[in-house]
Amino acid sequence: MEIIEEKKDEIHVFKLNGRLDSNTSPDFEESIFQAIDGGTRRIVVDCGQLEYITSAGLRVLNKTAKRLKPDEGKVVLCAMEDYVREVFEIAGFDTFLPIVSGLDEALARAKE
Amino acid sequence: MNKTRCTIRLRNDQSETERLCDRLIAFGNETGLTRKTINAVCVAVEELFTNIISYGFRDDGEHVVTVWVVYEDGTVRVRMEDDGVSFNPLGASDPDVKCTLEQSKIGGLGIYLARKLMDDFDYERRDGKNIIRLTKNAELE
Repeated sequence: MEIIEEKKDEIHVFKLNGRLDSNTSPDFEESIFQAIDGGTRRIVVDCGQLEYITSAGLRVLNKTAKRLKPDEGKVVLCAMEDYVREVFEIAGFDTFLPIVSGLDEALARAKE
Repeated sequence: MNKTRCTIRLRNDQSETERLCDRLIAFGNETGLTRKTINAVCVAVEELFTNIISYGFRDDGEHVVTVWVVYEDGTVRVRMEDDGVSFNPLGASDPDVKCTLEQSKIGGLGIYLARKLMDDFDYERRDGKNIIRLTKNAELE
């Protein structure tokens, strides 16, 4: 999996290209927590090129949301295919992680 | 296409998930399955494989997990076999998926996803082996 990182003002964007599973999630966790340790509090995860996510990937997002909450930080997900979204819905993660359709909308939500 | 099949033999090593999913995706594409069906199978099999190699083997030796996949008459059937300790995934309790972020826990989520993504899920312990059978009603392109 490829992780492309980009800063848009105070928002850190992670673009995921490939599969977020038990093999690749440790790399994603390291990148995201490095950003948080460096002061990032607003995160957008662009899932447009994400093939699929397993529970290992959900675990990283759950940990990220829990870490950011006390600091009023935010993680917003966007551009997800329906079959990727299905996994979030089965896991019930769509109830506490905002999932929006496009990147612009995600950036706006993350700024709020 | 009437019937397609593939057999994947995996070592008990996390890095094998990449080859596992490459093979499953290639199988799905050859068969003409939709991305939705392919992804459901990939996620379910990946979760179960990860579970087997994380908890199934109590020694440091190399073990083989075998995955057979067959498509026939609108149905994908998967059989997974390992010689690890006896473990029935159907005996695991469901996680609470209607909770808040603070209450959310991750334990048990992988097996739960596998069960929910498949249409049928069976487990059998036979001759010292764990045998999991999955069935998914396939959508074709």
